[in-house]
Amino acid sequence: MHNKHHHHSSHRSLNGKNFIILPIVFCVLILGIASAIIIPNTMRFINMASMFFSDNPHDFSDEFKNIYVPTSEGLEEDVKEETSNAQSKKTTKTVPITDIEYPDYSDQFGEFIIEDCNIKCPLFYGDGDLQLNYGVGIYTGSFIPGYGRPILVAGHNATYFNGLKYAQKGQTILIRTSYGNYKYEITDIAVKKYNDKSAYDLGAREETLTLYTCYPFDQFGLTSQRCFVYAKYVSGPKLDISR
Amino acid sequence: MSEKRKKKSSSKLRTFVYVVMSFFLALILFLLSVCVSLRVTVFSPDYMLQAMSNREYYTQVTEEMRGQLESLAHASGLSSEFANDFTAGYDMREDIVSYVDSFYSGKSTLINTTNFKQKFRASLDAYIEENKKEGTEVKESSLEYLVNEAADIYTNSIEIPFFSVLANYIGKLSMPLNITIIALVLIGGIITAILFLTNEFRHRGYRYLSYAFIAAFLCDAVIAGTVTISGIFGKINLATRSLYNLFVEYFNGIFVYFWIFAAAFIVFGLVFFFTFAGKHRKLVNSH
Amino acid sequence: MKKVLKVLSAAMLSAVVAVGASASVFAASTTGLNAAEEKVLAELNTTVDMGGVQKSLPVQYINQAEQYFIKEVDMTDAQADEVIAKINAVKAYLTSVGKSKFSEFTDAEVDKAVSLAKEAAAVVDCTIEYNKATRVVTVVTKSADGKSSTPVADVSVGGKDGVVKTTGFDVPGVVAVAGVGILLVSAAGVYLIRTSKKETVDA
Repeated sequence: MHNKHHHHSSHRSLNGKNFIILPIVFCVLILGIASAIIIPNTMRFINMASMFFSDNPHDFSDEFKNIYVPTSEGLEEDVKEETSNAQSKKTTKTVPITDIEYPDYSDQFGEFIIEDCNIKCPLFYGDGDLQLNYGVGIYTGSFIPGYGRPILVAGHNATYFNGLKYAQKGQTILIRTSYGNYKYEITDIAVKKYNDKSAYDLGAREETLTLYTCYPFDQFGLTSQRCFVYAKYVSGPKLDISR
Repeated sequence: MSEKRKKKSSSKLRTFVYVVMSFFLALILFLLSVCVSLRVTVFSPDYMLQAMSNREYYTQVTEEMRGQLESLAHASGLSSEFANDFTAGYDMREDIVSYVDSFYSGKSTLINTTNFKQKFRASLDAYIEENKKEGTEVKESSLEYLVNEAADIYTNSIEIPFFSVLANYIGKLSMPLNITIIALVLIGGIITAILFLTNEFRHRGYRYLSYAFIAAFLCDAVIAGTVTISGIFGKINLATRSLYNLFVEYFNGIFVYFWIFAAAFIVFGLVFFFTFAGKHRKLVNSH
Repeated sequence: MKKVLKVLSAAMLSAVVAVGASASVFAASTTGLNAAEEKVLAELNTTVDMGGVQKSLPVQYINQAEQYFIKEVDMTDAQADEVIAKINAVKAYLTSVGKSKFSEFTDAEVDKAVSLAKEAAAVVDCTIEYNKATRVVTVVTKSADGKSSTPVADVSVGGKDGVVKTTGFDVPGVVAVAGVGILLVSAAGVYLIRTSKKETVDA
């Protein structure tokens, strides 16, 4: 017995640091082995999952920014147009695009007016649920007024675009933005299927305005038909996109 | 080789073997903590339902569905009140619970929309009856289209993305996971027994147990700590608030169990350390 | 599988956005369109030969890229070249496969195309949002002020796609670019594939 005790005390101290070093070594080994086994087999999933994360916690506010400040720019021009000859119509003002605040998705950046149809509502950049609940929206795959390219605007037929049922050729559409006021003239109205790609040409190199809403109007339920209203550019400052 | 040196080298070998065994014990404890954490969270339907009620999931889903039905109403000649009234009278909780139950029990995860459609159609007919103005068209095909779209919104509100895929794995892995837990407990027990029974000095068993528990604590704490500090789950991008909250609650909950295990492991680790130290001192003193 | 087509065409766009995002950190709010950016847009407008059939990127995606450049990006020539190289890598692979339809691609070919697209997307400072209701994946990038997230482009990956909506109500309001969809399709795509019943193809 004595011998045993002697053996123990001479060869075995408490070795306190082992209680720190060994667990750390174990931990590194275990996590190392675990990641060596798991990571190669799940790399695809890890890659995929990483795409679901952003740098900041997600913001769920469904508020939108209103960047629209009414301007009289262009409205004065209208007066001039009405009173002067056709030649002065062609002197359209140009605004450098770097001078305007380009709207972000979901921004209210203007006002949409067709007086003959009793339509006057906020204009949004983007045509999602939120925007169409509060007004009408420009599809982000089209352009903003003044850009010189097609503009595609959507609205609900039961709310803001209900008035489109009164649309007729020759009527004036007014779009007011912070950087200028734009006039378009209705040139055509057509009912087409929702998936009819000939209903619009987003690749066109001229400024055209296309409005659409569900058709028929004043009908309960949903249909696959859409009422398209086509308009041509009349006046308003052109945006200079080059630098 | 002298008797003494022989004894010394065999003692070194034994120590090495014990250290290796305590390493395996640490590995087993760590795996056990992972498996048990998964067992009581991901693999338990109650856990999902608990996470749902903790985060008022049912209320949020209902509100989101209401918002979408409102947009649908605007596109279909109906008022916002129609959507509000209909949603107020519809109990989503029951449907969500049965959806969750069905995939944990391995039944079909298809969402049955019959009941929803019937109720929606009834509300729609009542609304039209009440609000029909002269000249307003009512076309059966348009109404059907509307009901189907509403049912789609309903389905999407109930559905939890990727869960049908996950449910498949849960179904298949549930039994193997149980077996793994039992096996780990058995192997852990055997290693512990060996540590104590084969050791000349019984109290040394505590030394090796202590190594293993402290190491297991470190593993769990490193993982849970990384997750907690990075706040990774709070940064998930999900488009609806309800899903986001559910997801955050669900995954953070798993790592709460990691913390619990980490705490238990360090307590045991320290208890074993002090037991060992006490017995060690006693032996040295008695000598 | 049709979806993959969109996703891949979107990949080209994502490559553009990638360099755009890196350049946008200190950019002013509206930067206009410079020669380098026009060069990239011209590249996006070209077609890719797939099994003898010329395919092109849907015009609305190019429009979105253009507006993204206008809004936030001030691209240098070197960056434009990098973007074009990435676009061409994806195109070259699609041509080398020699099949006109993605439905004819083998799993390995899809994987390869997807991984190329992933490479392009890897540099993108974008995140995803998945909307279970609209079944739409949204790719967003940080706006110039670094605070808010702004959707970059509209590429519908799942669900009811199309430029014209049910007057808005089921709109993929904002939608998706590339990497995202690609990853979804490649890895956990099961879900999206399952929900892709009502799909239209733009390209």
